[in-house]
Amino acid sequence: MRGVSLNVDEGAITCITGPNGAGKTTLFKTIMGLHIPYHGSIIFYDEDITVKPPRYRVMKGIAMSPDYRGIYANLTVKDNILLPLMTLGVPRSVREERLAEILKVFPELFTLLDRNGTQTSGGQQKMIAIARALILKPKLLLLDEPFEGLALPVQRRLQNILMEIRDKMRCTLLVAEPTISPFKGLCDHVFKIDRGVVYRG
Amino acid sequence: MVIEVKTLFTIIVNALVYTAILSLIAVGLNLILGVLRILNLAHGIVMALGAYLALSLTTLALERVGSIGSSLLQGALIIIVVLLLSGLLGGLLFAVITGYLMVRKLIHYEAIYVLLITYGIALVMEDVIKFIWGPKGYVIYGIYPLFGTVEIAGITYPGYYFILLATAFIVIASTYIFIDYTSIGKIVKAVASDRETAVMLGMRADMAYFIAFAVGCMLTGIGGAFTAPLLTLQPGFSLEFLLLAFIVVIITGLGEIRGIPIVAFIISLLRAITVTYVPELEMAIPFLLMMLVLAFRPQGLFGGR
Amino acid sequence: MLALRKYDIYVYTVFILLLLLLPIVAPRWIEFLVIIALVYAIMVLGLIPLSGLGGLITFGNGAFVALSAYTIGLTTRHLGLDSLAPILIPALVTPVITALLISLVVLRARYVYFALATVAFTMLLYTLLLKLYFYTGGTDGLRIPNLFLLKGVLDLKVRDRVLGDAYTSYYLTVVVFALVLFATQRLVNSSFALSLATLRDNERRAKMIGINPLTTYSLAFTYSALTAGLAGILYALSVGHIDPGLAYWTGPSAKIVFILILGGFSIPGCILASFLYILAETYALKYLSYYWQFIVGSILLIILLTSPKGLLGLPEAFIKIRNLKTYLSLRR
Repeated sequence: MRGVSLNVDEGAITCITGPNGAGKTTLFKTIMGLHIPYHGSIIFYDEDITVKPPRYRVMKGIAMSPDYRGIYANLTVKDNILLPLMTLGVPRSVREERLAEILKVFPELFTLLDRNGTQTSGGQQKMIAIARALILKPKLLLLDEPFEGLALPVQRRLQNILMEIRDKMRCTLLVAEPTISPFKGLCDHVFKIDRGVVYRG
Repeated sequence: MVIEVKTLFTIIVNALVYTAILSLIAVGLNLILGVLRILNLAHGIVMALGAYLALSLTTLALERVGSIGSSLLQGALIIIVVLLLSGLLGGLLFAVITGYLMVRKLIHYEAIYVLLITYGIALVMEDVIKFIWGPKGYVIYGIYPLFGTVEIAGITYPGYYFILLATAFIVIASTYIFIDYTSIGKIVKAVASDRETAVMLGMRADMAYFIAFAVGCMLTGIGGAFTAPLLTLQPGFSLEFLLLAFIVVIITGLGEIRGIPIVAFIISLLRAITVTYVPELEMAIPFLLMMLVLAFRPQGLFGGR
Repeated sequence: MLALRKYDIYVYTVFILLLLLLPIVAPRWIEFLVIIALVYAIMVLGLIPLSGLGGLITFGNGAFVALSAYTIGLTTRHLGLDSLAPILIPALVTPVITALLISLVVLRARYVYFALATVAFTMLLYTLLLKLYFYTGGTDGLRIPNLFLLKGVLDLKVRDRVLGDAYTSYYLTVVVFALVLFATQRLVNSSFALSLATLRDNERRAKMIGINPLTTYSLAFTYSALTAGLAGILYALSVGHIDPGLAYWTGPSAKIVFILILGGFSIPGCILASFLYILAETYALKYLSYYWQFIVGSILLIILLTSPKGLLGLPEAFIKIRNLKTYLSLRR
């Protein structure tokens, strides 16, 4: 990553696009805390979180859905979704509440709840990953290639879901996709990233 | 060669007792192996710690019990509690002293590095134990009488055996429940399976590692503590158990906790039979079994991810 | 690949010459120390390909030492053997064949798993040696008599005092050491070494380039068994007494791993480390015999814990190693 200067508007959907290997995932990982940048800083709501560990950022309201899905095979789908709440020590009743809310957004996950993490298709795993990030009601949601592997109608539904999240939950979304043209209507702002440099698109 | 019923039962009972201890040690070892992916070469030390602590604390307790003159039942209960505590304490002590150090290193460095650290710790701790408790052998008297005897097929066995079996069962079952049904257990499973994603979701990998390590050590400590009344405590006594635990772990599969009691029973049974009829080959059979498993199913009988 | 640097050959040759001339000036106890140090150095050199380059740390090479040593011991005791030459090949073949056989099985495991399996193997041998005391003498061990080199042809015995009042076996040891040193140098500078390093780095990628993990590791493993076997023979001849402790996992098996680390996985480093270690152990044993494990363990821990970058940082921490950079670049 070389020259990244990014201002993300609160409450908007910002899309980051660029070829594979351009650095979208690295950018996201840095925002999430999995990479610490050599230079520069990350300011989140007036706070410098550049060197804070991921856990801190999760507590402050940043959540990420990775491009590789990252669903645990040794846990049930339900547990997978509830993991972030468990790590923050949220009591069981609240967890169940939040799960119910999430299921309203992704009703197709209801039948999958008791299955093992990997007894699901790639597209379903994608949705589980997004649901898992959402369950925290984050202020900033990082979605790395959320549309990859999803069937067209599902993609359209996801677009609507994301816009609803932006509107109803006052959440800021950062979406990374290699090609942004199918989702033009989704993005409020677009940035391009190429070989580690970001510029407006 | 006719096998008498008596001998059969003796073999089975002995095998069961051995299974209980072996399971405790092996589950502890495999938990640490599965989550932290390190081979704890100092594992025998943890067992020894539990046993020697049990020695000291039960001796104290027995004196107390004797002087107060409490009933047999009270005495028995006290001893059970003391044994449990010794094991937990021994394990916890070890985990706290060494674990935190190791966990830190583990997150940043290669596993082999940590393995060598455990080896250094094993060397040091072995002499520390020798220093504190001395090189001679200890036998704990006074525990068996508290638990009476049980007669099966004409042979009397110490009641203690069955207490040991029950305790091991409860402890191991609790561990399973902990891992599979509590939030903490699930977090540990997640960290063990995919650490980077876990960290991304906000989990504290070092805490998860430490918990797994502590639980593993405590299990082993309990195994050691409950072994103490069974034999003569002297430096190096835990070696045999450690070795067999290693073999059980390989046969069951790295990190697979579920199948351990079954494998432990098979090994213990084979061992009991071998010891009765062909004592020299005692260690050979489990080892051969291990080789077979490695040859045809290297991920272990219960492994397979 | 790297050519055998001329500089290295000269240094090593001088070293060997010094060793050969040593007995003229040195007292007997120094000779004995040197024999043991060289024996260990031989074992550690054999470990460099497998554990240093290949990354598979084994705690089981004591088993191979014991195998060759006991081959000699058993034949002298039960078959009345009195010459070295006839038993030389069998004593070497035993550990090598064993290594080849068990490597088929044991090498299906990696790293931690592998270390586990090697420990189990060597401890199995230990208990066998212990329990079959009728044949092996159990904890008492076996005495290795003063064997003829080859009765009738070379009527020299291994523990006869020859040039400079040193044992014949001293010179034997130096010669074997020189051979192993040369062989290891060649190995380490060959494409075989590259294969091993690639395997350690990323096994999947290595397989894709056509490197067969099983055969490569197996060869390295067998090489370490061969050197351990040689060491076992030399040890038996010089010390005159062997016991099952050779196979115990905290015996030679573990010491050579320790020395390997101490020596930074490099050839000159390991040779130096062997000498240092034997010196230290002898003195620790002499003055603090009871708690020498504590000393060794503490030293190991201090070295490991203060090393800045984990295992890779160790060599930088103290010994100047000529081939270090090469190893580092091979590794990453």
